[in-house]
Amino acid sequence: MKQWPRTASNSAPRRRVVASWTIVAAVFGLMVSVQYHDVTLGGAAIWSALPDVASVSSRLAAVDSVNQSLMKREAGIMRRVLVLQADAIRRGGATALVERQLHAARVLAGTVALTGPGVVVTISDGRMSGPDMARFITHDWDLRSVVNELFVAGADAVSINSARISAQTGVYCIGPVVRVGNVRLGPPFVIRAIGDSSVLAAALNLPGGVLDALRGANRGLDVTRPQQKRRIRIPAYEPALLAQTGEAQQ
Amino acid sequence: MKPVSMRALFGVSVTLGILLGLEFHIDRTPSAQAYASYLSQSEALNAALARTTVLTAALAADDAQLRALEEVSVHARIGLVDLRQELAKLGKQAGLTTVAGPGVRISIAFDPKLPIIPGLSYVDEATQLQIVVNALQAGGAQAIAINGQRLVTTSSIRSVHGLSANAGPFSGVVQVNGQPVLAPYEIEAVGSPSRLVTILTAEALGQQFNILEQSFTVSQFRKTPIALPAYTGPLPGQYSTEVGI
Repeated sequence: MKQWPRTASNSAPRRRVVASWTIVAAVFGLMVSVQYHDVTLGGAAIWSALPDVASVSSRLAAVDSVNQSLMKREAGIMRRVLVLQADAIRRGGATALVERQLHAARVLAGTVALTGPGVVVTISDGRMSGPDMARFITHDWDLRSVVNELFVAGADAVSINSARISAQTGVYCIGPVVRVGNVRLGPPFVIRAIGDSSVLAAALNLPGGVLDALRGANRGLDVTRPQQKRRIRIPAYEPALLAQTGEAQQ
Repeated sequence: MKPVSMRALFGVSVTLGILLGLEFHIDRTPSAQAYASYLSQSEALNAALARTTVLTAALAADDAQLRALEEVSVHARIGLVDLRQELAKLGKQAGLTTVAGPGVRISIAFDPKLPIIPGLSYVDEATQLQIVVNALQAGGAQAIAINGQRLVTTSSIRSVHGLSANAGPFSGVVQVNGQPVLAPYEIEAVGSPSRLVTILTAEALGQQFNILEQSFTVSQFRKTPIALPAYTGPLPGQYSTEVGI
């Protein structure tokens, strides 16, 4: 480093150089620590024992973005499929018959989201407390009985909150939440069903029927009257990622 | 300033910078909150990854369907073959074909030798069957049938006596898929036998049936597959329109 002579006239530039070097060195140090932290060692884990939430969040955002893009592509293909399906059914013949069977198979398998008329009913826990509290919360069995009644009344599809009911869907209490298929749900439970809305509502409103049974027995459950809707959307079923053990036979 | 002093100043400044960097970057979130946030984000990530798998499969299926329909509109015969292949594939998921694999058979029959518990009210038969079916579904059963009636998504199990029937064992009439089904009952399920037996045991279903004078016998099919029939009832879809996934 250049040495400045000790004279009164050059003391000011010397102080400026020292100050500049101090700032440069401090910024350099700051950059080293940030780089080491963010790039070389991969985040907060090096500085504390806490989990790296930021890294998981960024991965989640990336996967969500991919999912959004897949959904857009799928929606585009589906629009074209629906037009061609309607054409095929309109033309009649063997193709129309197969298309109708395919629609029914997709409804049963739950592979597509559906819309149509139907009913919505909401079940919320009671507000009592104390040692007998289990009586006042909504149980798996309460939800299953409503779902069963809706299928008795001819529903095409039923969902509980975001979970579509399929032939493989168990409704099962696991501690504080209810597992519906692969989805954990908490109250309130909004049950949607697509079908003849007046028939579905009548089945649920049957005196002494399934909703009356839930409202009774001094359980304090809040069960709404079934609301008839002109259009309800029910999502596709999301199967569990488990090994399949059965072999289908034709 | 002497070179030694300059080097010292340089060192102090770099250290100060590092300390400042640390100060700004250290995560001061309470550990409990950080772990809760991490767990919820990890769970959301797992769900999102599972959704990617489902979406990818749905996209492939829709693409195949689109190609088949486009083929139909140009070459009707070839396109029809494609559509029938798709129907055969989808029919397996929907329960429209027979299925065979490892699983369990549960036999429920009236057994007067079982001890009677005084004052115990009998439970509606349809409700009893639904409890078993729900447990099997929760245990991961891929296919279930009751006395040869294959259960599909729109299946229902209903006693014609209503929800609060207080009748004795097997005096009611149970309808499965709208068809009458008579006791003794045989519930067959394809799935992992050990998982299915575990959930039946955990729910103490055998004991619950026994105190109602009903035997509850579980047979496991591990090497010899159990075969379930196809669903042959009315098909749904009259009120619904497809809108993709």
